[in-house]
Amino acid sequence: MSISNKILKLIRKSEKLSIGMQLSPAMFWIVFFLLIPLGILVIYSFWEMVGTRLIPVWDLRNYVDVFTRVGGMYIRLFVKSLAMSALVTVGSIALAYPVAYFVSLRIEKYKYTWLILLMGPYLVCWVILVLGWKMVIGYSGLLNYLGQLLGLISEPMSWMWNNWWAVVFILIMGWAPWLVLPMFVSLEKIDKSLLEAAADLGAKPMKRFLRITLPLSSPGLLVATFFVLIPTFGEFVTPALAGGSRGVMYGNAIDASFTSMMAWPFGSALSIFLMIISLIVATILIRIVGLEKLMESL
Amino acid sequence: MEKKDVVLENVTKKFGDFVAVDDISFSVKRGEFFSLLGPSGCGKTTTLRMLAGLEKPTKGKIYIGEEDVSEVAPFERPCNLFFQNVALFPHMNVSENIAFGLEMKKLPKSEIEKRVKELLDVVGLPGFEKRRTKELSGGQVQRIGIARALARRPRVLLLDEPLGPLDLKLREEMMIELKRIQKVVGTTFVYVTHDQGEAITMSDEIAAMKEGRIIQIGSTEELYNKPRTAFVAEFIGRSNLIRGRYREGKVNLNNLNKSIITGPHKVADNDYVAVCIKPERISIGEDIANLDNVFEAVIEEVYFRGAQINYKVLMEGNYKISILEHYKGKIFEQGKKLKIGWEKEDVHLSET
Repeated sequence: MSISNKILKLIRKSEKLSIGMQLSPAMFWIVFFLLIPLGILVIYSFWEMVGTRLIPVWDLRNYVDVFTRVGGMYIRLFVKSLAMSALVTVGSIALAYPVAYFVSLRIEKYKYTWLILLMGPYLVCWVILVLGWKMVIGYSGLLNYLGQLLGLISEPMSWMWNNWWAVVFILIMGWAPWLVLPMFVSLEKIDKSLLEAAADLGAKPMKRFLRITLPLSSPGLLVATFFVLIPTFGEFVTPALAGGSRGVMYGNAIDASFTSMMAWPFGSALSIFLMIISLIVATILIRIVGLEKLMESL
Repeated sequence: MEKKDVVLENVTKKFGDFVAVDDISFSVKRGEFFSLLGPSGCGKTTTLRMLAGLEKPTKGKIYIGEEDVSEVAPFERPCNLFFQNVALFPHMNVSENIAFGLEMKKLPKSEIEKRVKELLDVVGLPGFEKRRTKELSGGQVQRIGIARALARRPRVLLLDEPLGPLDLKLREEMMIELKRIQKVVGTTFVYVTHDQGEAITMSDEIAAMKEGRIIQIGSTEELYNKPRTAFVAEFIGRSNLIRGRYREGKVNLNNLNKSIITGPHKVADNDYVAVCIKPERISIGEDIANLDNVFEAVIEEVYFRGAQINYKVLMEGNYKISILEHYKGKIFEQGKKLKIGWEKEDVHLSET
């Protein structure tokens, strides 16, 4: 018997080993592309960078810097970004929920065709999406052009572009179609006879919505929150393209520390701090919904 | 005159070209347990949903408690529906479920609490206020559903196959329970079922439905003993049916050159009829010559059920006959040739 046969036999005998072997491609992927880079990031966050050289000093100065550098500018930027992502979350849910509600409860034919059509915007990449909005609400965009043409405004409105609200607006527009999906799933799961029962017990349409539909679709709402809140925390493409100097977000600060500032350890600390806060928020959300319900709605 | 809680006048319901309910009329007396009985697709559930206001009749009028409700929205009707799947609100506990309809009425909190407690007593589940709906057993879910539906003191409670999802034992328990609750609260019940056992056990009156029409309305005993048509006879009490032509107190059989003595009936001579004989009215034995009607038969199947024995026999003329006999310590074996018979008084003539 050859050695390879012996090894194969050994693997077949040990259940743990065989499961491990089966999982190994996935494990490899996670270890090499997630855990190792993350580990490097953690290590860097305790180092120092002088010029282009990384020096292992092993202290917490970068984390202190997160709170104190430039008079606490970074932590204020963080809070601002948090507020912006919260606003984006609320805005995109407010936009998407009625759509999900309509598709789920009012449309009978071609429900899924409508859902697929909603995914249309994702056929173009995010950068094009942002620049597309620039053509609509930018300084020389469609709205300003039409406004001037119709004599509604005498000169282009500059408040629509290059500031934080442009960033929030575009993020809302970009995220809303995605959110229709989890909320649709949640609404679809509601047994329609519950609404009939509520009607039978004297509940008018608005009461039925508030007492039955809304609470029962809350898992979808929380999944949606999860979907938007966490990724928009670290958003940097949209503010870079549409935010100007007033629309900078925390993600841009991280970006800058790794590029123009040449401060990798500080950037690492910023990233780790963001990750910790995201983890806390995620944990709270999962606690509220329950992991099982969350997975069901995905 | 007795008060009517439900009156339907020439009600028709069409879904596109399909006629689900075809020009039916009936009324239900106050405090009565009324069943709509029929196979699936006979229009009984549609009738109930029209009463509840979840469907609009295409034609005809519906009155509940002397009020024309044809144009009244479901949430304003003086009736409540008990749903087939109960449909308890999963995100509310038991007392919140029962209180829902009362809150919609904007009753004061203290009154709601009192009523919830009262209803839990009625359905035999006192102290269940804070239970989650997930923690309830099948029978408990049903009881809470009934409590919720009765909370607003409806004139009429509509029940749509409420016992369908339950297993046999629980179903029998709930039948007795439902009837008890109905007597305690005195509410008029309109009950939809395809199960003749349920209908017979609980109802004061039954309407047998087929293909959107009512075939017969009457007391349970009436429908059991005097089915108007062969359909009703087969559906209720599983009668034996032997088809033939009536003539002067006799029915000449189709398959056999013999006749069944029926005595005089209100049937025109030469009319085709179905002779309907209940399984428990037929005698079986080797020596039963003194009965009005006696035929040769062979036992095909024997089912011993403890207190009763069910024989499936093949009577001369190739008629399959079911016989139910009390067990008195003697069982005939399969394949045995013997005689079966019945008196002319045990015969009822139905339309074929």
